[in-house]
Amino acid sequence: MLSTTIAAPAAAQIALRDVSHAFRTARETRTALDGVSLEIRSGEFLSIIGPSGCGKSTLLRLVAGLLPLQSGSLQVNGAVPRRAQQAGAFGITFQDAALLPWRTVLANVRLPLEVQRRRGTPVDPRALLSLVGLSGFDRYYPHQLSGGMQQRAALARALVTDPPILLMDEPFAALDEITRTELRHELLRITAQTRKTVLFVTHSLAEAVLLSDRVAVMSGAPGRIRTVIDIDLPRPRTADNEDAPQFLGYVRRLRSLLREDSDA
Amino acid sequence: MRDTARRLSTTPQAPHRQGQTASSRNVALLARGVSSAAPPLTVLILTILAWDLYVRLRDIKPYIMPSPLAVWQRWTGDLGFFYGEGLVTMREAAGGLVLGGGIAVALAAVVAHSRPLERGVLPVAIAVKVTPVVAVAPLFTIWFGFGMLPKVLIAALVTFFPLLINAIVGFRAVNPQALELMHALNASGWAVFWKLRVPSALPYLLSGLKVSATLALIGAMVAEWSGAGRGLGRVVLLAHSNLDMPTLFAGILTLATLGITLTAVLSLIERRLLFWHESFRAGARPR
Repeated sequence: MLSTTIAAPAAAQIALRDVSHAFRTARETRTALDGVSLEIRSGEFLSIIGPSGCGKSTLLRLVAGLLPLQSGSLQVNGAVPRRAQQAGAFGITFQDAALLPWRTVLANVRLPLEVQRRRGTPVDPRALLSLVGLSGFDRYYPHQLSGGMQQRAALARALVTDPPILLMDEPFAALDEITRTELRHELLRITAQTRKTVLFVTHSLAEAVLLSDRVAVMSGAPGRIRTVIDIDLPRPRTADNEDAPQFLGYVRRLRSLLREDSDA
Repeated sequence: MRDTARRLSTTPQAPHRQGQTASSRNVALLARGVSSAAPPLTVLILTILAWDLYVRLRDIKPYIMPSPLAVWQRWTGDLGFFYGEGLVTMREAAGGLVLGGGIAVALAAVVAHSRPLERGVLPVAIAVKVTPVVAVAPLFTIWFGFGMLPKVLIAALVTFFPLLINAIVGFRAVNPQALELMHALNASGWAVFWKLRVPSALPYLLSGLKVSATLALIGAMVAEWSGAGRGLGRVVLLAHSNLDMPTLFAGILTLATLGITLTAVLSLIERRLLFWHESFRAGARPR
Protein backbone atom coordinates (compact mmCIF):
# COMPACT_ATOMS: atom_id res chain seq x y z
CA MET A 1 0.00 0.00 0.00
CA LEU A 2 2.57 2.39 1.24
CA SER A 3 5.14 1.20 -1.24
CA THR A 4 3.09 1.39 -4.41
CA THR A 5 1.79 4.94 -3.94
CA ILE A 6 5.15 6.67 -3.75
CA ALA A 7 7.41 4.40 -5.78
CA ALA A 8 8.81 5.81 -8.98
CA PRO A 9 7.96 3.71 -12.05
CA ALA A 10 10.29 0.75 -12.58
CA ALA A 11 12.69 2.27 -10.09
CA ALA A 12 15.14 0.47 -7.91
CA GLN A 13 13.64 -1.18 -4.86
CA ILE A 14 16.50 0.02 -2.70
CA ALA A 15 18.26 3.22 -3.68
CA LEU A 16 21.20 4.78 -1.89
CA ARG A 17 22.43 8.16 -3.06
CA ASP A 18 25.61 9.64 -1.66
CA VAL A 19 25.18 7.95 1.69
CA SER A 20 27.88 8.61 4.29
CA HIS A 21 28.05 7.31 7.80
CA ALA A 22 30.45 7.96 10.67
CA PHE A 23 30.73 6.46 14.11
CA ARG A 24 31.64 9.00 16.72
CA THR A 25 33.20 8.10 20.02
CA ALA A 26 34.50 10.50 22.63
CA ARG A 27 38.00 10.18 21.22
CA GLU A 28 37.61 9.87 17.47
CA THR A 29 35.31 9.88 14.51
CA ARG A 30 35.56 6.91 12.19
CA THR A 31 34.07 7.20 8.74
CA ALA A 32 32.45 3.87 7.88
CA LEU A 33 30.81 4.87 4.62
CA ASP A 34 31.81 7.71 2.34
CA GLY A 35 29.48 8.80 -0.44
CA VAL A 36 27.99 5.45 -1.33
CA SER A 37 25.49 5.28 -4.18
CA LEU A 38 23.90 1.99 -5.11
CA GLU A 39 20.67 0.73 -6.57
CA ILE A 40 19.19 -2.66 -6.01
CA ARG A 41 16.45 -3.71 -8.36
CA SER A 42 13.37 -5.65 -7.47
CA GLY A 43 13.97 -9.40 -7.55
CA GLU A 44 17.71 -8.94 -7.85
CA PHE A 45 20.37 -10.76 -5.86
CA LEU A 46 23.11 -8.27 -5.05
CA SER A 47 26.20 -9.17 -3.05
CA ILE A 48 28.55 -6.77 -1.35
CA ILE A 49 32.12 -7.88 -0.91
CA GLY A 50 35.05 -6.03 0.53
CA PRO A 51 37.74 -6.15 3.18
CA SER A 52 36.84 -6.39 6.86
CA GLY A 53 35.66 -3.11 8.29
CA CYS A 54 34.84 -1.57 4.91
CA GLY A 55 31.33 -0.72 6.04
CA LYS A 56 29.43 -3.60 4.42
CA SER A 57 27.47 -4.32 7.57
CA THR A 58 26.91 -0.63 8.21
CA LEU A 59 25.38 -0.35 4.76
CA LEU A 60 23.07 -3.29 5.43
CA ARG A 61 22.02 -1.86 8.81
CA LEU A 62 21.25 1.51 7.24
CA VAL A 63 19.03 -0.18 4.67
CA ALA A 64 17.28 -2.15 7.42
CA GLY A 65 16.61 1.03 9.38
CA LEU A 66 18.70 -0.21 12.29
CA LEU A 67 21.00 2.81 12.07
CA PRO A 68 19.82 6.38 11.54
CA LEU A 69 20.71 7.93 8.22
CA GLN A 70 23.29 10.68 8.71
CA SER A 71 23.72 12.05 5.22
CA GLY A 72 22.65 11.30 1.69
CA SER A 73 19.36 9.72 0.74
CA LEU A 74 18.21 6.16 1.17
CA GLN A 75 14.90 4.83 -0.03
CA VAL A 76 13.34 1.43 0.25
CA ASN A 77 10.23 0.93 -1.86
CA GLY A 78 10.20 4.69 -2.27
CA ALA A 79 10.10 5.42 1.45
CA VAL A 80 12.56 5.84 4.28
CA PRO A 81 13.85 2.59 5.81
CA ARG A 82 11.83 3.02 9.02
CA ARG A 83 8.63 3.13 6.99
CA ALA A 84 9.67 0.07 5.02
CA GLN A 85 10.43 -1.63 8.31
CA GLN A 86 6.95 -0.84 9.59
CA ALA A 87 5.47 -2.18 6.39
CA GLY A 88 7.29 -5.46 7.01
CA ALA A 89 9.65 -5.12 4.08
CA PHE A 90 12.58 -6.96 5.61
CA GLY A 91 13.61 -10.45 6.47
CA ILE A 92 17.03 -10.44 8.06
CA THR A 93 19.73 -12.95 8.97
CA PHE A 94 23.13 -12.52 10.59
CA GLN A 95 26.38 -14.39 11.00
CA ASP A 96 25.05 -15.52 14.35
CA ALA A 97 21.79 -17.37 13.72
CA ALA A 98 20.51 -15.60 16.87
CA LEU A 99 17.79 -18.15 17.52
CA LEU A 100 16.18 -17.78 20.93
CA PRO A 101 17.49 -20.78 22.89
CA TRP A 102 14.33 -21.20 25.00
CA ARG A 103 12.12 -21.59 21.94
CA THR A 104 11.78 -24.64 19.75
CA VAL A 105 12.79 -24.34 16.12
CA LEU A 106 9.16 -23.93 15.12
CA ALA A 107 8.53 -21.28 17.77
CA ASN A 108 11.63 -19.44 16.61
CA VAL A 109 10.38 -19.42 13.05
CA ARG A 110 7.03 -18.12 14.30
CA LEU A 111 8.59 -15.29 16.31
CA PRO A 112 8.30 -12.61 13.59
CA LEU A 113 4.59 -13.39 13.24
CA GLU A 114 4.15 -12.76 16.95
CA VAL A 115 6.03 -9.48 17.14
CA GLN A 116 5.36 -7.84 13.81
CA ARG A 117 2.51 -5.37 14.09
CA ARG A 118 1.23 -5.76 10.61
CA ARG A 119 -1.50 -7.74 9.04
CA GLY A 120 -0.35 -9.75 6.11
CA THR A 121 -0.32 -13.17 4.65
CA PRO A 122 2.23 -15.17 6.59
CA VAL A 123 3.79 -18.27 5.19
CA ASP A 124 3.08 -21.55 6.96
CA PRO A 125 6.07 -22.03 9.28
CA ARG A 126 6.06 -25.79 8.79
CA ALA A 127 6.15 -25.42 5.04
CA LEU A 128 9.12 -23.10 5.45
CA LEU A 129 10.91 -25.60 7.65
CA SER A 130 10.60 -28.16 4.92
CA LEU A 131 11.71 -25.58 2.34
CA VAL A 132 14.95 -25.04 4.26
CA GLY A 133 15.38 -28.79 4.81
CA LEU A 134 14.41 -28.91 8.46
CA SER A 135 11.15 -30.82 8.35
CA GLY A 136 10.89 -33.06 11.37
CA PHE A 137 12.98 -30.74 13.50
CA ASP A 138 10.19 -28.38 14.52
CA ARG A 139 10.22 -29.47 18.16
CA TYR A 140 13.99 -29.41 18.56
CA TYR A 141 15.72 -26.68 20.49
CA PRO A 142 18.46 -24.58 18.85
CA HIS A 143 21.24 -26.12 20.94
CA GLN A 144 20.33 -29.51 19.53
CA LEU A 145 21.05 -28.29 16.00
CA SER A 146 24.36 -27.94 14.19
CA GLY A 147 25.53 -24.49 13.09
CA GLY A 148 24.34 -25.09 9.54
CA MET A 149 20.90 -26.22 10.71
CA GLN A 150 20.65 -23.15 12.91
CA GLN A 151 21.30 -20.96 9.88
CA ARG A 152 18.62 -22.84 7.96
CA ALA A 153 16.19 -22.11 10.78
CA ALA A 154 17.24 -18.45 10.78
CA LEU A 155 16.53 -18.31 7.05
CA ALA A 156 13.08 -19.82 7.58
CA ARG A 157 12.45 -17.21 10.26
CA ALA A 158 13.47 -14.44 7.87
CA LEU A 159 11.01 -15.73 5.26
CA VAL A 160 7.99 -16.33 7.48
CA THR A 161 6.44 -12.88 7.08
CA ASP A 162 6.93 -13.16 3.31
CA PRO A 163 8.98 -9.95 3.11
CA PRO A 164 9.89 -8.60 -0.35
CA ILE A 165 13.48 -7.96 0.73
CA LEU A 166 15.97 -10.32 2.33
CA LEU A 167 18.97 -8.80 4.08
CA MET A 168 21.75 -11.25 4.87
CA ASP A 169 24.86 -10.25 6.78
CA GLU A 170 27.54 -12.93 6.24
CA PRO A 171 25.08 -15.67 7.15
CA PHE A 172 27.50 -18.52 6.37
CA ALA A 173 30.73 -16.97 7.65
CA ALA A 174 30.85 -18.99 10.86
CA LEU A 175 30.29 -22.34 9.14
CA ASP A 176 32.76 -24.92 7.94
CA GLU A 177 33.51 -25.07 4.23
CA ILE A 178 31.44 -28.16 3.50
CA THR A 179 28.32 -26.88 5.25
CA ARG A 180 28.90 -23.51 3.67
CA THR A 181 28.92 -24.90 0.15
CA GLU A 182 25.81 -26.92 0.90
CA LEU A 183 23.93 -23.92 2.24
CA ARG A 184 25.00 -21.75 -0.69
CA HIS A 185 23.21 -24.07 -3.07
CA GLU A 186 20.23 -24.27 -0.77
CA LEU A 187 20.00 -20.50 -0.79
CA LEU A 188 20.31 -20.50 -4.57
CA ARG A 189 17.38 -22.89 -4.80
CA ILE A 190 15.28 -21.04 -2.22
CA THR A 191 15.77 -17.57 -3.67
CA ALA A 192 14.96 -18.89 -7.12
CA GLN A 193 11.75 -20.29 -5.65
CA THR A 194 10.71 -17.30 -3.55
CA ARG A 195 11.79 -14.48 -5.89
CA LYS A 196 13.05 -12.13 -3.21
CA THR A 197 15.21 -9.08 -3.56
CA VAL A 198 18.37 -10.06 -1.72
CA LEU A 199 21.12 -7.87 -0.30
CA PHE A 200 23.88 -10.24 0.67
CA VAL A 201 27.07 -9.33 2.54
CA THR A 202 29.92 -11.79 2.23
CA HIS A 203 33.67 -12.28 2.40
CA SER A 204 33.66 -15.14 -0.04
CA LEU A 205 34.27 -14.41 -3.72
CA ALA A 206 32.97 -17.75 -4.95
CA GLU A 207 29.86 -17.30 -2.87
CA ALA A 208 29.24 -13.86 -4.36
CA VAL A 209 29.71 -15.08 -7.92
CA LEU A 210 27.58 -18.17 -7.50
CA LEU A 211 24.62 -16.41 -5.92
CA SER A 212 24.53 -12.93 -7.39
CA ASP A 213 23.12 -11.09 -10.34
CA ARG A 214 25.49 -8.28 -9.49
CA VAL A 215 28.38 -7.87 -7.09
CA ALA A 216 29.30 -4.55 -5.51
CA VAL A 217 32.99 -4.39 -4.62
CA MET A 218 33.80 -2.10 -1.75
CA SER A 219 37.09 -0.61 -0.68
CA GLY A 220 37.78 0.00 2.95
CA ALA A 221 38.50 2.86 5.32
CA PRO A 222 36.52 4.88 4.45
CA GLY A 223 34.04 2.52 2.79
CA ARG A 224 33.31 3.31 -0.84
CA ILE A 225 31.77 1.34 -3.66
CA ARG A 226 34.63 0.70 -6.02
CA THR A 227 32.70 -0.92 -8.79
CA VAL A 228 29.64 -3.03 -9.46
CA ILE A 229 30.02 -5.94 -11.84
CA ASP A 230 27.32 -7.98 -13.53
CA ILE A 231 27.56 -11.73 -13.13
CA ASP A 232 26.39 -12.89 -16.49
CA LEU A 233 26.05 -16.58 -15.76
CA PRO A 234 22.95 -18.53 -16.76
CA ARG A 235 20.47 -19.69 -14.13
CA PRO A 236 19.72 -22.12 -12.61
CA ARG A 237 23.30 -22.37 -11.43
CA THR A 238 24.60 -25.64 -10.11
CA ALA A 239 27.74 -26.99 -8.52
CA ASP A 240 29.13 -27.67 -12.01
CA ASN A 241 29.08 -23.96 -12.73
CA GLU A 242 31.71 -23.40 -10.09
CA ASP A 243 34.35 -25.11 -12.21
CA ALA A 244 33.40 -23.39 -15.47
CA PRO A 245 36.07 -21.05 -16.85
CA GLN A 246 33.55 -18.23 -16.99
CA PHE A 247 32.80 -18.63 -13.28
CA LEU A 248 36.47 -18.75 -12.37
CA GLY A 249 37.02 -15.70 -14.55
CA TYR A 250 34.60 -13.71 -12.42
CA VAL A 251 36.24 -14.91 -9.21
CA ARG A 252 39.64 -13.90 -10.56
CA ARG A 253 38.36 -10.49 -11.60
CA LEU A 254 36.86 -9.85 -8.17
CA ARG A 255 40.06 -10.98 -6.51
CA SER A 256 42.19 -8.63 -8.55
CA LEU A 257 39.78 -5.76 -7.82
CA LEU A 258 40.13 -6.42 -4.12
CA ARG A 259 43.90 -6.77 -4.38
CA GLU A 260 44.30 -3.46 -6.19
CA ASP A 261 42.48 -1.95 -3.28
CA SER A 262 44.79 -3.36 -0.66
CA ASP A 263 47.85 -2.35 -2.70
CA ALA A 264 46.69 1.22 -3.04
CA MET B 1 -2.62 -37.41 26.30
CA ARG B 2 0.31 -39.77 26.54
CA ASP B 3 2.32 -37.36 24.49
CA THR B 4 1.61 -34.51 26.90
CA ALA B 5 2.55 -36.63 29.86
CA ARG B 6 5.85 -37.50 28.28
CA ARG B 7 6.58 -33.90 27.53
CA LEU B 8 5.89 -33.02 31.14
CA SER B 9 7.87 -35.84 32.59
CA THR B 10 11.08 -35.53 30.62
CA THR B 11 13.09 -32.45 29.95
CA PRO B 12 13.13 -31.85 26.22
CA GLN B 13 16.89 -31.46 25.93
CA ALA B 14 17.48 -35.15 26.22
CA PRO B 15 15.69 -37.02 23.45
CA HIS B 16 18.24 -39.81 23.74
CA ARG B 17 16.87 -40.55 27.19
CA GLN B 18 13.29 -40.94 26.05
CA GLY B 19 13.97 -44.46 24.94
CA GLN B 20 14.62 -45.61 28.48
CA THR B 21 11.89 -47.14 30.56
CA ALA B 22 10.60 -45.28 33.58
CA SER B 23 12.13 -47.70 36.07
CA SER B 24 15.60 -47.68 34.55
CA ARG B 25 15.43 -43.91 34.55
CA ASN B 26 14.49 -43.92 38.23
CA VAL B 27 17.41 -46.18 39.04
CA ALA B 28 19.72 -43.88 37.12
CA LEU B 29 18.32 -40.86 38.94
CA LEU B 30 18.75 -42.61 42.28
CA ALA B 31 22.34 -43.51 41.49
CA ARG B 32 23.06 -39.95 40.45
CA GLY B 33 21.42 -38.71 43.67
CA VAL B 34 23.53 -40.99 45.85
CA SER B 35 26.76 -40.09 44.13
CA SER B 36 26.05 -36.38 44.37
CA ALA B 37 25.00 -36.64 48.02
CA ALA B 38 28.02 -38.66 49.13
CA PRO B 39 30.66 -35.88 49.41
CA PRO B 40 28.56 -33.43 51.47
CA LEU B 41 27.33 -36.26 53.70
CA THR B 42 30.90 -37.36 54.37
CA VAL B 43 31.93 -33.86 55.36
CA LEU B 44 28.87 -33.54 57.58
CA ILE B 45 29.51 -36.84 59.38
CA LEU B 46 33.18 -36.03 59.93
CA THR B 47 32.30 -32.62 61.36
CA ILE B 48 29.77 -34.12 63.76
CA LEU B 49 32.28 -36.79 64.85
CA ALA B 50 34.96 -34.15 65.51
CA TRP B 51 32.46 -32.07 67.47
CA ASP B 52 31.36 -35.02 69.56
CA LEU B 53 34.92 -36.10 70.24
CA TYR B 54 35.93 -32.60 71.29
CA VAL B 55 33.02 -32.20 73.71
CA ARG B 56 33.63 -35.62 75.27
CA LEU B 57 37.40 -35.46 75.57
CA ARG B 58 37.59 -31.92 76.90
CA ASP B 59 34.51 -32.47 79.07
CA ILE B 60 32.83 -29.26 77.87
CA LYS B 61 29.84 -28.19 79.95
CA PRO B 62 26.46 -28.52 78.17
CA TYR B 63 25.66 -24.81 78.75
CA ILE B 64 28.84 -23.89 76.85
CA MET B 65 28.64 -26.43 74.06
CA PRO B 66 26.16 -29.30 73.92
CA SER B 67 27.03 -32.65 72.39
CA PRO B 68 25.58 -33.45 68.96
CA LEU B 69 23.46 -36.16 70.56
CA ALA B 70 21.90 -33.69 73.02
CA VAL B 71 21.04 -31.37 70.14
CA TRP B 72 19.63 -34.23 68.12
CA GLN B 73 17.47 -35.42 71.01
CA ARG B 74 16.17 -31.94 71.68
CA TRP B 75 15.43 -31.43 68.00
CA THR B 76 13.77 -34.74 67.20
CA GLY B 77 11.95 -34.72 70.52
CA ASP B 78 10.14 -31.53 69.61
CA LEU B 79 10.14 -31.34 65.81
CA GLY B 80 6.59 -30.00 65.70
CA PHE B 81 7.55 -27.05 67.85
CA PHE B 82 10.68 -26.20 65.87
CA TYR B 83 8.96 -26.42 62.50
CA GLY B 84 5.96 -24.50 63.78
CA GLU B 85 8.28 -21.65 64.68
CA GLY B 86 10.32 -22.23 61.54
CA LEU B 87 7.21 -21.83 59.44
CA VAL B 88 6.61 -18.41 60.99
CA THR B 89 10.12 -17.30 60.07
CA MET B 90 9.79 -18.89 56.64
CA ARG B 91 6.59 -16.96 55.98
CA GLU B 92 8.27 -13.70 56.94
CA ALA B 93 11.22 -14.51 54.70
CA ALA B 94 8.96 -15.43 51.78
CA GLY B 95 7.01 -12.22 52.19
CA GLY B 96 10.24 -10.26 52.19
CA LEU B 97 11.50 -12.12 49.16
CA VAL B 98 8.37 -11.34 47.18
CA LEU B 99 8.33 -7.70 48.27
CA GLY B 100 12.06 -6.96 47.98
CA GLY B 101 12.51 -9.10 44.89
CA GLY B 102 9.46 -7.62 43.20
CA ILE B 103 10.67 -4.06 43.74
CA ALA B 104 14.21 -4.98 42.70
CA VAL B 105 13.14 -6.63 39.43
CA ALA B 106 10.69 -3.86 38.55
CA LEU B 107 13.33 -1.23 39.25
CA ALA B 108 15.93 -3.18 37.26
CA ALA B 109 13.60 -3.41 34.26
CA VAL B 110 13.55 0.39 34.15
CA VAL B 111 17.17 0.99 35.12
CA ALA B 112 18.52 -1.53 32.60
CA HIS B 113 17.46 0.83 29.81
CA SER B 114 19.42 3.83 31.00
CA ARG B 115 22.99 4.21 32.24
CA PRO B 116 22.37 7.61 33.89
CA LEU B 117 19.43 6.15 35.80
CA GLU B 118 21.61 3.24 36.86
CA ARG B 119 24.24 5.65 38.14
CA GLY B 120 21.55 7.45 40.10
CA VAL B 121 19.99 4.37 41.65
CA LEU B 122 23.06 2.26 42.45
CA PRO B 123 24.53 4.44 45.25
CA VAL B 124 21.20 4.33 47.05
CA ALA B 125 21.02 0.58 46.57
CA ILE B 126 24.53 0.16 47.89
CA ALA B 127 23.70 2.34 50.89
CA VAL B 128 20.77 0.03 51.60
CA LYS B 129 23.05 -2.97 51.23
CA VAL B 130 25.74 -1.79 53.64
CA THR B 131 23.27 -0.73 56.34
CA PRO B 132 23.56 -3.42 59.03
CA VAL B 133 20.26 -5.22 59.51
CA VAL B 134 20.93 -5.44 63.24
CA ALA B 135 20.91 -1.65 63.39
CA VAL B 136 17.69 -1.21 61.46
CA ALA B 137 15.70 -4.04 63.01
CA PRO B 138 15.06 -2.35 66.41
CA LEU B 139 14.01 0.78 64.57
CA PHE B 140 11.52 -1.14 62.48
CA THR B 141 10.16 -2.75 65.62
CA ILE B 142 9.55 0.69 67.11
CA TRP B 143 7.88 1.88 63.92
CA PHE B 144 5.89 -1.19 62.95
CA GLY B 145 5.40 -3.14 66.18
CA PHE B 146 6.02 -6.76 67.11
CA GLY B 147 4.04 -8.38 64.32
CA MET B 148 5.04 -9.81 60.99
CA LEU B 149 5.49 -6.55 59.11
CA PRO B 150 8.89 -5.39 60.41
CA LYS B 151 10.34 -8.86 59.74
CA VAL B 152 9.01 -8.88 56.21
CA LEU B 153 10.51 -5.45 55.65
CA ILE B 154 13.92 -6.50 56.96
CA ALA B 155 13.86 -9.62 54.77
CA ALA B 156 12.90 -7.42 51.82
CA LEU B 157 15.79 -5.10 52.60
CA VAL B 158 18.41 -7.85 52.46
CA THR B 159 16.99 -9.51 49.33
CA PHE B 160 16.75 -6.26 47.44
CA PHE B 161 20.36 -5.70 46.45
CA PRO B 162 21.48 -9.07 45.05
CA LEU B 163 18.32 -9.31 43.00
CA LEU B 164 18.61 -5.74 41.72
CA ILE B 165 22.17 -6.27 40.51
CA ASN B 166 21.43 -9.64 38.94
CA ALA B 167 18.29 -8.35 37.27
CA ILE B 168 20.06 -5.32 35.77
CA VAL B 169 22.82 -7.51 34.37
CA GLY B 170 20.23 -10.05 33.23
CA PHE B 171 17.99 -7.61 31.37
CA ARG B 172 21.07 -6.43 29.48
CA ALA B 173 22.39 -9.91 28.70
CA VAL B 174 20.59 -9.99 25.39
CA ASN B 175 22.01 -11.39 22.17
CA PRO B 176 22.67 -8.14 20.22
CA GLN B 177 21.70 -9.72 16.91
CA ALA B 178 18.44 -11.02 18.33
CA LEU B 179 17.78 -7.44 19.46
CA GLU B 180 18.54 -6.13 15.96
CA LEU B 181 16.22 -8.75 14.52
CA MET B 182 13.42 -7.54 16.81
CA HIS B 183 14.03 -3.96 15.72
CA ALA B 184 14.14 -4.89 12.04
CA LEU B 185 10.75 -6.54 12.58
CA ASN B 186 9.51 -3.30 14.12
CA ALA B 187 8.70 -5.10 17.37
CA SER B 188 7.23 -3.03 20.19
CA GLY B 189 9.25 -2.30 23.32
CA TRP B 190 6.77 -4.45 25.18
CA ALA B 191 7.38 -7.42 22.88
CA VAL B 192 11.15 -6.97 23.12
CA PHE B 193 10.88 -6.95 26.91
CA TRP B 194 8.68 -10.00 27.33
CA LYS B 195 9.89 -12.14 24.47
CA LEU B 196 13.58 -11.32 24.63
CA ARG B 197 14.74 -9.52 27.77
CA VAL B 198 12.81 -11.47 30.38
CA PRO B 199 13.81 -14.95 29.16
CA SER B 200 17.40 -13.76 28.70
CA ALA B 201 17.41 -12.46 32.27
CA LEU B 202 15.90 -15.61 33.74
CA PRO B 203 19.22 -17.36 34.52
CA TYR B 204 20.41 -14.25 36.35
CA LEU B 205 17.12 -13.78 38.19
CA LEU B 206 17.08 -17.35 39.42
CA SER B 207 20.66 -17.34 40.63
CA GLY B 208 19.95 -14.03 42.38
CA LEU B 209 16.88 -15.59 43.92
CA LYS B 210 18.92 -18.49 45.30
CA VAL B 211 21.29 -16.08 47.03
CA SER B 212 18.47 -13.89 48.26
CA ALA B 213 16.31 -16.71 49.61
CA THR B 214 18.80 -17.73 52.28
CA LEU B 215 19.58 -14.10 53.05
CA ALA B 216 15.87 -13.48 53.57
CA LEU B 217 15.70 -16.30 56.13
CA ILE B 218 18.61 -14.87 58.07
CA GLY B 219 17.15 -11.39 57.79
CA ALA B 220 13.79 -12.50 59.18
CA MET B 221 15.49 -14.33 62.04
CA VAL B 222 17.64 -11.36 62.98
CA ALA B 223 14.58 -9.13 62.83
CA GLU B 224 12.90 -11.39 65.37
CA TRP B 225 15.70 -10.72 67.84
CA SER B 226 14.54 -7.18 68.37
CA GLY B 227 11.13 -8.27 69.49
CA ALA B 228 8.79 -10.97 68.28
CA GLY B 229 6.02 -13.15 69.62
CA ARG B 230 7.00 -16.14 67.54
CA GLY B 231 9.59 -17.47 65.13
CA LEU B 232 12.94 -19.21 65.12
CA GLY B 233 14.81 -16.04 65.99
CA ARG B 234 12.82 -15.73 69.18
CA VAL B 235 13.43 -19.41 70.01
CA VAL B 236 17.17 -18.93 69.60
CA LEU B 237 17.20 -15.68 71.58
CA LEU B 238 15.21 -17.18 74.47
CA ALA B 239 17.38 -20.29 74.54
CA HIS B 240 20.42 -18.09 74.64
CA SER B 241 19.26 -16.12 77.67
CA ASN B 242 18.35 -19.38 79.43
CA LEU B 243 21.72 -20.94 78.53
CA ASP B 244 19.66 -23.72 76.93
CA MET B 245 22.26 -24.61 74.31
CA PRO B 246 20.59 -27.75 72.91
CA THR B 247 17.51 -25.67 72.03
CA LEU B 248 19.65 -22.93 70.53
CA PHE B 249 21.49 -25.40 68.35
CA ALA B 250 18.28 -27.19 67.41
CA GLY B 251 16.88 -23.84 66.33
CA ILE B 252 19.90 -23.24 64.12
CA LEU B 253 19.56 -26.76 62.76
CA THR B 254 15.95 -26.02 61.84
CA LEU B 255 16.99 -22.86 60.07
CA ALA B 256 19.69 -24.76 58.19
CA THR B 257 17.28 -27.44 56.97
CA LEU B 258 14.84 -24.76 55.85
CA GLY B 259 17.60 -22.95 53.98
CA ILE B 260 18.82 -26.11 52.29
CA THR B 261 15.31 -27.13 51.31
CA LEU B 262 14.60 -23.70 49.88
CA THR B 263 17.82 -23.71 47.87
CA ALA B 264 17.13 -27.23 46.61
CA VAL B 265 13.62 -26.32 45.50
CA LEU B 266 14.91 -23.23 43.70
CA SER B 267 17.64 -25.29 42.01
CA LEU B 268 15.02 -27.71 40.83
CA ILE B 269 12.89 -24.91 39.41
CA GLU B 270 16.02 -23.47 37.83
CA ARG B 271 16.83 -26.74 36.11
CA ARG B 272 13.27 -27.05 34.84
CA LEU B 273 13.01 -23.51 33.51
CA LEU B 274 16.53 -23.20 32.14
CA PHE B 275 16.84 -26.52 30.31
CA TRP B 276 17.99 -24.47 27.31
CA HIS B 277 20.80 -22.69 29.10
CA GLU B 278 24.46 -23.73 28.67
CA SER B 279 24.88 -24.58 32.33
CA PHE B 280 22.02 -27.09 32.44
CA ARG B 281 21.66 -28.75 29.10
CA ALA B 282 23.01 -32.11 28.19
CA GLY B 283 25.54 -32.17 25.38
CA ALA B 284 23.18 -34.25 23.26
CA ARG B 285 23.00 -33.26 19.63
CA PRO B 286 21.04 -35.29 17.14
CA ARG B 287 22.92 -36.51 14.06
